[in-house]
Amino acid sequence: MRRFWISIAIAAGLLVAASVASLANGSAPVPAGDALRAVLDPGSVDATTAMIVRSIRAPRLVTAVVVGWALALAGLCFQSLLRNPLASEYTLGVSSGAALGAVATVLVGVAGALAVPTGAFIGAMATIAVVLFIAHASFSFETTSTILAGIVFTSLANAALSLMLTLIAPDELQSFFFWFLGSFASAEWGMVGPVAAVVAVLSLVLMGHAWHMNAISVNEELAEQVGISVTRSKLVLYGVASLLTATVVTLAGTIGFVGLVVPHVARLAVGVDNRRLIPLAAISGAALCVISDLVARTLLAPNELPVGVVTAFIGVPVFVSLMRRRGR
Amino acid sequence: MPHCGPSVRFPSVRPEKLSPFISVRFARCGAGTPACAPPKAAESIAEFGMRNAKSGGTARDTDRVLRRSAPRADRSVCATLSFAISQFSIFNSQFGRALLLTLALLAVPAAAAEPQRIVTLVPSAAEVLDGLGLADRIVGVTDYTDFPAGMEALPKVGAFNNLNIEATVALRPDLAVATSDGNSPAVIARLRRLGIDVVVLDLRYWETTQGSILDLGKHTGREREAKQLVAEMNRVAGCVSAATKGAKRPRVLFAFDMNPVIAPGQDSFTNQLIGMAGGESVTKGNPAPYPRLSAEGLIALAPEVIVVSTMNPAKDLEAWKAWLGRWPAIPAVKQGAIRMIDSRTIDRPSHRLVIGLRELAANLHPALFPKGVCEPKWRSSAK
Amino acid sequence: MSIAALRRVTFSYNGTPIVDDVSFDVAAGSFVGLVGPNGAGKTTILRLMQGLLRPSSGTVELEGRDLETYQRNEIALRVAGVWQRPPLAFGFTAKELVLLGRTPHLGLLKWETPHDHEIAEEVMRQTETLQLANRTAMQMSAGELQRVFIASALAQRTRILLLDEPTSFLDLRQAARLSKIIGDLMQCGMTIVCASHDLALIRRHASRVVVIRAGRVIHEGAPDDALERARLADAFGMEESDWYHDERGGG
Repeated sequence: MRRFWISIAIAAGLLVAASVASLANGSAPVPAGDALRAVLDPGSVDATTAMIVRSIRAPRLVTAVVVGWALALAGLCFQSLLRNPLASEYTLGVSSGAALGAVATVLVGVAGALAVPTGAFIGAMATIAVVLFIAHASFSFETTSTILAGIVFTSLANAALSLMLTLIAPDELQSFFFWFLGSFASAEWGMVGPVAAVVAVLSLVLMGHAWHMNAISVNEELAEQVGISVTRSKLVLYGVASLLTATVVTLAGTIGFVGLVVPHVARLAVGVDNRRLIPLAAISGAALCVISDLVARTLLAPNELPVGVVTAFIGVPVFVSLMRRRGR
Repeated sequence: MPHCGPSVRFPSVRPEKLSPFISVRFARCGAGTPACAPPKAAESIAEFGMRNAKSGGTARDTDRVLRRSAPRADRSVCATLSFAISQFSIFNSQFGRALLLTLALLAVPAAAAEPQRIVTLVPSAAEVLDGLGLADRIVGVTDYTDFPAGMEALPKVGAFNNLNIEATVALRPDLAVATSDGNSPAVIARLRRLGIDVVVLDLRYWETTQGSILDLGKHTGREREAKQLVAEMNRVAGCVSAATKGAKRPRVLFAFDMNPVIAPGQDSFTNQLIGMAGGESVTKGNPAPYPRLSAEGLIALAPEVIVVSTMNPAKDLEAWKAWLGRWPAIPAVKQGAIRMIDSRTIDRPSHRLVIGLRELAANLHPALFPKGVCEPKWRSSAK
Repeated sequence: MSIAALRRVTFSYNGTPIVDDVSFDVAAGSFVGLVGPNGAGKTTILRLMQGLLRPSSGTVELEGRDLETYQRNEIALRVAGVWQRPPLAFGFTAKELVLLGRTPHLGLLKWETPHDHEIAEEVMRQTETLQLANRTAMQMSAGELQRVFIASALAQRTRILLLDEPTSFLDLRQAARLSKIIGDLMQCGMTIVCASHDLALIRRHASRVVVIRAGRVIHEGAPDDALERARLADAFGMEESDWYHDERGGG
């Protein structure tokens, strides 16, 4: 338990430090001190500085936090459900499926504030159904074939997405990058607020099912024996993971490797009990995304890198080193 | 091939082909720094150009400028990017078009005070602003904005398709100028929510370009200058039309790139210009926005003139002649009618397209356009 | 008084009956041994009794009620089982696995209390697994893991315990220890249904034995009668002369 609190403290410290750095740094030449003062007391700095920090950097920071948080939890959820450390919303194609759903919704021209998130959610759920079907898994698992099915489906979804984006849809290359590599650039309070609320609720639901996740990740039959309604729990957990993925995709496109790598690192720190993993992974995921975004927008300022590029560059080496350690 | 409706655009921006012509004006008055103001704020560039033309400016000045802004190292990266953009900047959805229309309408509020700090969100916007005599008000530009001169030295706000909102806001602009097919509607809406006045130009066709110039003029208190720009556009177009009247209209293949050949499709701005220049584009009815043609496709289309948009006429002419020489069945090859046209005059949508229009007409009907005929007046504004 | 019963239960998989019209009663506080050849359907019967499988026809009863009418959690409060398991993925420790047995007793948010830890430690002492507490499944032998799962089932504190080959991986000492635990549990009124080839274990504890072949009950009765050499040879389809088991182990 002591190890758990130390880990949480480290992750939270990292998140706070990265957040402060995020607010203080950017492509606009705002002194770090002014930037931080703008957060605490907007009256003490000029209007433009206040606007840059409070209307551009702050919502973007919160978006990165929410997205990292949600991605780590979605990845953790999929790994527990499939009992496979290679599972994540990204490797299973759920992110791509959600992006496909979102783009399809825009194309069809469905209106309404919830149209795109709903499309993304349907896309995510449909992907899981298809992937499990391809893997002949029908809610029980052949874990390796599920991952393979996920990879196959990701290729298919990405091809369909490319097709939509090039032949039918939009006029901008930016959206192409957005859906494939993710970005926090369009972050605004109006969108972040509701999404953060949704993610908070989903996190609580997940925390309430942490024990169920434990039992299911040990053995489904054992979970059933100790009184857990496995089918119901799995539906809830798949639903939560899909919703988390869908909200993230709506907000920031597809961002890979956070959901894959963060749960691994957290597991190294505190073991496999999901009641400890959930808070630690959430905070670590948030920290990773904030750091990645900071790198994405300062490395080549004023131009921005897609944040998915940065998470891949950070995530892949970490993952490879974990695999090597595991293999030994 | 069927004619596919009026819904196509010009390639939003082809940054590698930015025209440097008016840069002369800045070069003349200093080191091309943004602080260097044009002669008189109220003086329109057309007026200025016409006055200068009378006082003896020549086309040789233009050549000198062209040489000065030789291609930079980053041009190849830029070319790749711009090609990618042209591939993805296909815009056919009803929804998107409606959105753009809405944005375009929103972009024209009643009237406004003269803007003091302008950020351009695409390179062509800087060109139009320069035409209105507002270049000295520009405080920030997007990547690859190198016209008018001095723009490279200004703070950058990212690429037109990947705008850095924070950098834009930090410049405290009281006006941002965007284009409907270059900038993302979502980004434009975002800037407006942040309290920035955004004017969206529709530079997809001749008529919309003129309308947008007038709107921008009205918005910035430069109505007179805008009208003069439009009038000059019409004068040149009328002159070209009159000169080519009755002449045989050659079948023209316009090429942006070789191997595969990338041509303007449907009724794009380029095809519109070809028509205005007294030609008939062979890819006019092609349903693809940017058809890619193989050598076989070229033979089938049997163009009588091939016009290649290029940054490097001498080198590209050799390359094209070597490549096309293998297919003498193409009428244009047999007749040796392979022409190079400077991309900076033809690929970039603004009032200055009439330079390209005149060049194009001269390439299609060399005999009808001796030096001095139908020359845009602002072209020789240098000294 | 029967605490559990099968009433004409048939279970088919892909059209083939695995369990075919089986009926028997389990009296409260009794030890019922299930004996029969591999693939006879013993494990399937145990799974049906825990509601992990649903009968194709017939009913499984628990405390006089159709098992179908129970919630999963209600079953888990009454019936625990020890199974042979596939390998486990993530590295849960022995202690965590045993605590999973406390699941039906935990509250809504499923956080264990000191009381749950006490029970877990008690059953781990009982099964001599306390020293394995921090080892993961990968770091334990098959026999150690088997004892951990027995501990987990005991931690569930149910009135009925289903055992599927509980001694299969155990050494002599641990098998004897399990036998003692079973004896203690019986003293406390535990009802046990045990499928096993360990005839000594069955003979020692069983009050009744059900002999099964090809999904059918071919004999039910007292152990001495049911475990008679000729009957078993018949049930397992072997020559009596091939019999090599030491029969003195019974009691």
